Amino acid sequence: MTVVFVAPKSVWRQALATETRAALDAGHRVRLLAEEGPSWDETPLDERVEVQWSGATAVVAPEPALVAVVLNRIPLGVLRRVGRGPLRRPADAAAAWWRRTVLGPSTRRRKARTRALRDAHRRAFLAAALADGDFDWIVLHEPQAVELGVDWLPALLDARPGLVTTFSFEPRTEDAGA
Amino acid sequence: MNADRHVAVVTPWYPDPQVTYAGAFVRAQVEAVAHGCAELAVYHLKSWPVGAVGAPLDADPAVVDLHARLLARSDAPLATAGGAVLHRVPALTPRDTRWITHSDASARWLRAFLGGAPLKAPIVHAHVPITGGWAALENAAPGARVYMTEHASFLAELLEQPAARARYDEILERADGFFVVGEPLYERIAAEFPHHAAKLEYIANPIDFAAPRERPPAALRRWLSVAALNERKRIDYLIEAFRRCRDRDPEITLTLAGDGRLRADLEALTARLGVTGAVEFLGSVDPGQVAGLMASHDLFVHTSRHETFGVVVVEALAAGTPVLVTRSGGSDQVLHGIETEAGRLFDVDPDPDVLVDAYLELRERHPAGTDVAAAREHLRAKYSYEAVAQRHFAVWDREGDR
Repeated sequence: MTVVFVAPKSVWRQALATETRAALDAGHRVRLLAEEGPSWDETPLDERVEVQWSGATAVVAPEPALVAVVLNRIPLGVLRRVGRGPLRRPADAAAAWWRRTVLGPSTRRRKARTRALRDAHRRAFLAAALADGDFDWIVLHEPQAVELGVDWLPALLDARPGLVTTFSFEPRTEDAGA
Repeated sequence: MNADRHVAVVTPWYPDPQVTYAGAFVRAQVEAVAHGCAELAVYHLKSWPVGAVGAPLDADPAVVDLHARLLARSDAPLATAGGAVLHRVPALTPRDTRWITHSDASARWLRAFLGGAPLKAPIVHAHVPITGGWAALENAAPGARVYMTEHASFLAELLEQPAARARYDEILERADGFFVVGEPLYERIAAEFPHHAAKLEYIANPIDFAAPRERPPAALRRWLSVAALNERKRIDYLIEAFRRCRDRDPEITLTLAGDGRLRADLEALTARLGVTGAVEFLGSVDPGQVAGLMASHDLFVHTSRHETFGVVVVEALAAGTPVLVTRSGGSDQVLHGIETEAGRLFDVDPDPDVLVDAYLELRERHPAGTDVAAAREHLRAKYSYEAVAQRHFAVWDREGDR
């Protein structure tokens, strides 16, 4: 069978590495829809796993140029210069206040926009990656697989009632002879 | 095997491929009792947080509907300890800290998984009453007996929430048996709910006594800690005390098994104190590795501020390794009556010299002044798989015989 692991945020990488290897060892072809990131170095995947990276971490809400210059670079640059002299402490305190009070709200808004953009990107990525229907078994490996599945999964389940769905790939009772 | 014992275990904690040590004591319980049951099914209600922070679970009905549909079609019975069957039941939970919502979610998703039918087993044993216990009570068949064991270290925080507190009171009322794994939990629950105090009983987490070390340690130089690297475990205190002991004996070493958010800080502290070469950070270890680690070190050191039960203390002595541990609640109870034989207890105190003095005193009298073999036998009678299994069977069968 072809097993596809859906892990759009890849929050449980240790488990993904273990379970994809178990699926391969059980004789399945294994696909993985995942998010890239440096932490994968600590939990390397078997080279036989066919991985499609979402590219979501590269998606960032842009900061308006005017905000970047007027509210960020100019005032913090001035305070950095002032801080090189004897006014280091008050300049550092002023920079911290500026970041917290002036930049804080816009940074939070930008982070929220980035989250929304990334989720939209992940949804589009999953829909595109699964459009070929080249799988017999879907492992919904994390909460975000369900959250981001509302746009495409119900229709897929209607169309393919025999499709296997699970939340993990681990040794079943029949495999253990129980 | 008893043909009458059909048992369901409901738990929010159980080892999985991501966190192999989470709920290892629940798997140990399953392994201990499975051989005496005609059928034993484990329902693992792992929390899956969804939605925006603070938003209710039903904020996105499409997600809730989809998950209910998936649960009803996604059962893959898994093999687990002792030949028991494991069902993974992801429980979508809102991102909030209110225990009442997590309690409701646990019951709701187990019901969805079961397709609205009750659990078939006439005996249900749940772990962590606020989540696993409530899910068990709300999904048990009419006439089924529901028991539960409290292990949680977050009970104080839970009981500060009025809705969760009222739920806990109801759980205590409805449970057929309510067990705690240590004296601190017993005292806390009895004090908070005195009208239910008579219902509380002790039950231990089972410990593997199968493979002790071949010979007792000659000198107490290779220290071992098995603990999460968090504030409660006071590993910074341990490292400072270790440094002071090492000033007296440069041969001693310290192995830290466990991980946590303080790891980087603790590694920096180790460097600052100039003991980097003598301290090894192992990170998280699989539960199956613990007995071997215990047996390959000379002394188990535990500096925790508070413990509900001293699992690791019993594991150390089961391996035949002496212990140097704080009076942290659970450890005191475990070592009651065998303190001298097992090693040494010391007070929870901010001064590292308290540990240093305790170590020097223990080192001075070991091995002639300790008797780890005797301590081990004492604990085996209470905490071995066989002993704990018999305790469960006695509880489950006494009610059935009524």
